[in-house]
This record gives sequence, structure tokens and C-alpha cells, in this order.
Amino acid sequence: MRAIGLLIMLTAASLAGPVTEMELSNGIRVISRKLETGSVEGISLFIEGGSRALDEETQGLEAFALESALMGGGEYTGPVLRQVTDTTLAEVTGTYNYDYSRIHVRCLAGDLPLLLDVLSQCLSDPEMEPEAVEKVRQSMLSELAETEVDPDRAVWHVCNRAFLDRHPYILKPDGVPETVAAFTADRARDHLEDRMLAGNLLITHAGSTPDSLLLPILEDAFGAIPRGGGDLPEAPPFRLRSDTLVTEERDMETAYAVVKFEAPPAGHPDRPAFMAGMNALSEVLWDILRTESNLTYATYAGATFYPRNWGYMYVSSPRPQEACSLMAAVFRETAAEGFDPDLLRGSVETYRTGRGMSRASRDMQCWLLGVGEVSGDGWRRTYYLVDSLAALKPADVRRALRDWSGPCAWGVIASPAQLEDLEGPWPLR
Amino acid sequence: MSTVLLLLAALQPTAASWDGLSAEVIDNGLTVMVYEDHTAPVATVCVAVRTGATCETPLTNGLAHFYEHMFFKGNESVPDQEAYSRRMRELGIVRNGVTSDEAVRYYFTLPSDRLEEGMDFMYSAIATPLFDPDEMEREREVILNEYQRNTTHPYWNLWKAREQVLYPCAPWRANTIGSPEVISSACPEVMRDFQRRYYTPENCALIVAGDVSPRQVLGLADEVFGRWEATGASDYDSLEVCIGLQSDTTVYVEGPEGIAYVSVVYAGPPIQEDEEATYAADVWGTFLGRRSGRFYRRLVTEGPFLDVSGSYYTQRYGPAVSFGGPVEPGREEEAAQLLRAEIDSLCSPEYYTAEGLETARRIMRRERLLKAEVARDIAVETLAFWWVVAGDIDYFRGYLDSVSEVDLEDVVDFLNRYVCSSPSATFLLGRREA
Repeated sequence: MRAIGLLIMLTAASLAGPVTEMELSNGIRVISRKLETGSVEGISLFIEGGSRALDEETQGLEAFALESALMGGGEYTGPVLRQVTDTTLAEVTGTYNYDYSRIHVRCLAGDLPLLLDVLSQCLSDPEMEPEAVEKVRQSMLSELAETEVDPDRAVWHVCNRAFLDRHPYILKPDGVPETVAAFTADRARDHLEDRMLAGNLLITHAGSTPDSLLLPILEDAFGAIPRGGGDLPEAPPFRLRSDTLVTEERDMETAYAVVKFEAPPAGHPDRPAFMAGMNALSEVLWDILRTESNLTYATYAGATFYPRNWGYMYVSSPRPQEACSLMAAVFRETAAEGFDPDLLRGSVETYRTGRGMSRASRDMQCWLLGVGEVSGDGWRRTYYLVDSLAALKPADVRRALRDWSGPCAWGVIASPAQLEDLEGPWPLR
Repeated sequence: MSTVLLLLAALQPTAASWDGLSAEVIDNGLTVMVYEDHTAPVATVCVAVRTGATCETPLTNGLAHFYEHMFFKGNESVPDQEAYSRRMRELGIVRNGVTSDEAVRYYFTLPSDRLEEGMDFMYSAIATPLFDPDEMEREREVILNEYQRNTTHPYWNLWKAREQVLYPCAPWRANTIGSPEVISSACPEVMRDFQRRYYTPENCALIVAGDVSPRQVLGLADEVFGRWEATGASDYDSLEVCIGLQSDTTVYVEGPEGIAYVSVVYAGPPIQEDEEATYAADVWGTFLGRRSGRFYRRLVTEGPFLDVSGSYYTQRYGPAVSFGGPVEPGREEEAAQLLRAEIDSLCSPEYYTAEGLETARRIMRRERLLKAEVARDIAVETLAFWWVVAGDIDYFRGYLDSVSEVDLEDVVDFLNRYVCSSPSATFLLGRREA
């Protein structure tokens, strides 16, 4: 174990409630939220890069490499690792994204040192046992097939063909069948060596383990990771210049539609107002498309938490022309006229309740603390977003929606008859 | 690291963190459960109703679910959907409803300082719905779209095949979304029938979890829900078990490209008829679920499955013992053969070790600790489920003590009665060449 003296407490708890910031001896940052109730601990390891650190031939490699590594490594060979996860009932899960990957560990407090030792050894010395690697490949291919077959999930990719055209985010974090089929264990190992550098890593924690115990465990697990990294280039702006509609034909009774448009990037002053607007819009879509017009079972709106962001609206309907044109009209009207102040206030309160619900979830707390940091927004902006939303005036929200209602990309999966009736793209401005 | 391990061991509670749970039945028969957790200033209010698809007939298939949609419409306090939505926003409510085969749950979370208003809001919605014909007419289209969405799911064909094969006498009792014909013709009168029969206090439980105190909740429950009149009309406890297989069956289900799934299903013990077997079944399922065990190794590590499970799903009318998981496309037949051979093997007592069963029981104690993370989930997932399925909360409360008594003999007895000499249905989802 390295000397605890090497660890630096950067932020006092008083500045940000029960959240503390620390640093390991190799510079890896740690953000921890103390939860005094329950005995569950959560630790997330964020690896900056994601699919943006890959290219057309290697998209999906990070997911493949990390999933393969999590099958066993170091002294925790596959059978030993399975024994550990059986007896602790710990969960180690990976999620893969445009700008980062996240490995999350959920376990009981007493098991935390063991699980972090497991994670550390798997990532630094992955076993890459051939049959286990092959199983990972087959699982990824099966998941890709399922995404493609399910129109509810596939419609987002259909929309991306236009919205993310010529942008690095067009690369899929989970890969495509052609790339996943070609990855090798050696390539996965090389990728991990390239990316597992201290400058690319961020650790977030939620649980009751005090910093004085947490820090030595983390130092043991991750303190020896080499310095370096942190050189991911800035994500460029999107290139969509005009309203676009991409369609895909499938023989189904209901159609699925998604529209995306550029939103304020991380750190932009319009971001809270835009987020508030999209949250409120979600309520309005429900009221108008579902309750009043009975066009759909599912409709919602929102905005993303990446370095480069988009607003989105979603609907499924047997009458896609009507649903899409109404959805666009609702957006145009709210961007022009603004929201009813009570509705806006109510949607912020609902958002606050949602944040309250997630306060005990170690997974959600780790995600919230980390996603703001890796997107470049800073964890405080994301973590305390609800306070920013509550301070907004209706005019701020209207202006943000109006100013960001630029060119939009629509993706629609529908039957031949439904496609014949489509008259999109439906402009948002 | 050993010093740190020792220190952390002290942080780990030895008793299950369910001390915050209290339960009471108020005068009108409504069960009230309270789970106190002050992690966040929010409270979840859930009403669990003992109804669902299992209470339906072919002529009412889908109405339990339709009713759930109408819960979010007008009632005696809020005249229509618009007022309903406005009130939810005023209270900062995040809400949902879920209909399953054997239960319907309504729940919302709101700031804990609005709990009293939230309880009022819940009472009006559950006890005084209007079933306005115009609102029903509009909601019909919404539900039909939900049905259409289900049909596009990659596993839709498999779900439909399971209903037909596992519940041959009453497939509708496992079909929660229901029939489009019934949805299309539902009227307020049939909603009222459902209300009279199942939406009565003695057939429901009110569960409140979060930043609340038992005293506060029980007081409000008496004051707000105490006026809800008991009718004793529910037939929920007298329904017949509907899962039933007469002979071994193999069903090939056409699936989408790139997706394959294999499962073998048996009828399991109905909790109301064979409670002891349910404990043995759960210990056995946990034993089987260990990834370091033979079952996982043979079928996944060394076999064609991408993942696999073998478990018992506790139910009253459709309890199932299921094995299976996704497999590599094209290897469905091989996977089914291997799985069936492994099921044959696990009928032998030699398949089990005392140590393995003890590990399983230890895992179950840990599982309870891990499930005590989020108050909302405790209310909606854990307490609501066990109250409905067991008929009271005593089963849940005594569960860990009961499973600690399960030994190898109990496991073998359970397997002999429900798996080893019983008919099964094997489902193979995949591409069928001509």
C-alpha cells in the first residue's frame, strides 16, 4: 500500500454538502458522496475516450476489451472470479458511450476492497481466455442483433444516420457486427494498455465507507496505473445543416419516430434553461399527443449529458404523419410562446422529486458525479442542476428553446403504407 | 489490505436492514406497510391490488390493464385528466402503474412534506374513479398502441407461445396486455365490475416508504383510507391454479435473425398450496444460479448458452420453474439437448453439496441487504410483490428463517415433485430453415 500521505484531500465537505474530492498518488481523481444509510457501496470507474477514441474499423473495441477483461484477470482467473461474485453477490457492469466507458461495482461495504482488487487485476492483467473472449463476442453480436430487430431501439440509429453524419459520435460504442466479429484478444489487450492511463480515469463513489478507509483501498487498486492520457481531442460541433428525414420500412402496425437537433454543449450558459425546456416539453407532449389526441402510448422529450449535446423527441404511433407533425408543431409553439408558468414550475418540481428518488441509488449517484466531469461540465453543474432549473424564469426557457431550434434530423421506422403518407421532415423553427 | 478489510467488516451489518418496516391492518381490512428511510426528503406511496390478468376471462382479457390506465384519469376530486396532470405537477409527483398476471400496482413518489396531500390524491384515484366514457374512448387508442408496440418486440412470438403451451386451459390469464377485441369494446360498466370486485380495501395494501414515520403514515391511512368501504367481494383467493402441462412438449418459435433463446419450463409449487416447497425452490434456484457452479459451467462456459438461469418464480396461479437463456444462433437444438441432460442430472442428490447449499442460503441473506438500497424499490418491488403473492407480509418477514431451515432433503423433495418426473415444455426461439 502506498503512503496515505500521498493522497490529497482537495475539497472540504462543507463546500458541496456530503461530497468530497480526492486524488490518488498518480493523479486519478476521486469524487465521493457519503450515504449513511444502508450497507450498499457503489464505485464507478470512468474511462474517458469511449467510441470517440476509436475509428470505423475499431468501433466497439473498448466495449469488447473491457467486457473480455471482466471475465477474469491476474490471480482472479475466470473460475476464481465467478466464485468471488457468487459469494459476494457483487455486480460488476460495463456501459459504453461516445466519450467514456463506465465500469460500475455494486457490493456490500465489507466486500469493497476485494472487489476493487478484482477490478484492478482484471483491467491491468486481463486473462483473455479464448473461450471467454469468444463468449463475449457472441453476447455482443446477439445484443447488436436484438437492437437492430427491435424498432423501438433501432429508430435512434436511423435518426443518427442523418444527425450524426460525419461526426465522431456516428461510431457506435457497442460496435457493429463486422468490427465485433474481427476483434482479437491481443487487440483488446493493446487497447486496454493504451487507455488505462491515469489521465483518462475518474473514480466516483457512493456509500458509507469513510474517506480514511476508501482512499487506501483505491490507492491499492489503482495507484500504480501509469500517468499519461487525458489527451482526447475536443468533440467537434455537429454538421447537420438542413432538416432531414431518414426512413426505414418494416411491416408493423405502429411506427416509431425520433427527432434530434443540436443543444447547448457542456458548460454553455444556456444549458440549464434548455434542459428545463425539454423537461417541460415532455409533459406537454404527453398532454397533447397522448391525452388529448390519443395518438400514442409513448412520447417524451429530453436532452443529453455529453460534451456535444442534442435535444430529442420520441413518439410511437399508428399515425406517424399526424404524430410527427403535431410533435413538431408543439415544439414550435412552445419555443415561440413559452410554457405556462405553472407547468414549468411543476416540471421542475417533478424533476426534483426524481433526483430525490435517485439519492439512495449508488449507481445513479456515481453516474451523476462522473458524467458531469467527463462531459466537461463539472460535477457540480450536473449534480446541482435542479437548483439551477428552479432559479430560471419562463422567459429564459423560451429563449433557450427558440435559440437552439436549428436544423433537425428525423428518423422514422414505419410500414410501407405509413411511409407513403409521410410529409416530413417537420421543421422545428 | 487485511487491516482495511477488518475495518470494513465492521461496517457491514450482520442483521438484515429491514428494521424500518412496520405493518398493520386497519379496521376496513386495508393492510398498511411503512418502510422508514430518511436518505432523501421524498416518500413513495404505493397501492398493490390483488388482481391482474389471472382474474380475467376471455371476454374480459385486458381489462385489468385497461383499468390501470383509467386510474390516471378523472375521479371525484379531480374531474378529468387535465386536472389530474395539473395536480400531479403541483405535488411534484413522479408516477407509474404496472399490471402483471397476478397483481396491479399504482405508485408515485413526491416530496415527503406533501405526504398528506399525496395520500389524499392516491385515495381519490384508487377509490373514486369516474370512468368517463369520453376519456375511456381516448384511452382505448393509447392502449391499442401499447399492444402494437408489444407485437414489435423481438420476443413477442415466444411470449405468445408460452401462454398457449403453459396455460392451455386459460392462456388469457397470462396475457396481461389482453386481446385487441376486448380493449376495443371495453365500457364503463365492465370497469365498475372490476372495481366492485377487486378495488376494495381488504383486497389491497397501502405501502409507504421513505422519509416518513410509521405513526404519521398509520394516522393518515386511518384518516384518509379509513372511509373506504370493505365489500368482501373479491374472489382472488378462490381462483384455480392455471399453469398446467399434461405431457412433454417441444415448441419451435420463429424468431428474428441473429437471436436465439432456449428454455425448459415446468409447473412449480403454488405458494398458497405448498409454501414449504417455495423455500426449497428458492434455495435450489440460488444454488443453481451460482456462476461458479456446474450448471453455469456446463451450459455457458463450456456450452452454447450466452447466459443461463434456473429458478422458481413464486406465484399463486402461474408458478413456474424455468431453465434457459440466450444461445448462440444456430445452436438451439444442441443447447436444448444439453439443458435437458443437465436437468436430468440435477435430479440426483449427488449434484448438490452441503457447502453449496450453505453458500446459497448465505447469498440469499446478502440479497436481502442489497435489496434494501432504494426506498421506492422496497415499496414497489419487494413489499408489494410479496404481499400480493403470499397474501400477507408474514411470509416475507419469516422468509430468511424459513430458508435457513431448508436442507438437501427438502431440495430433492421439491425436485421430485415438481421437476424430475413432471412434464415440461421446451421452447426454442430461432430461425427455422424451410
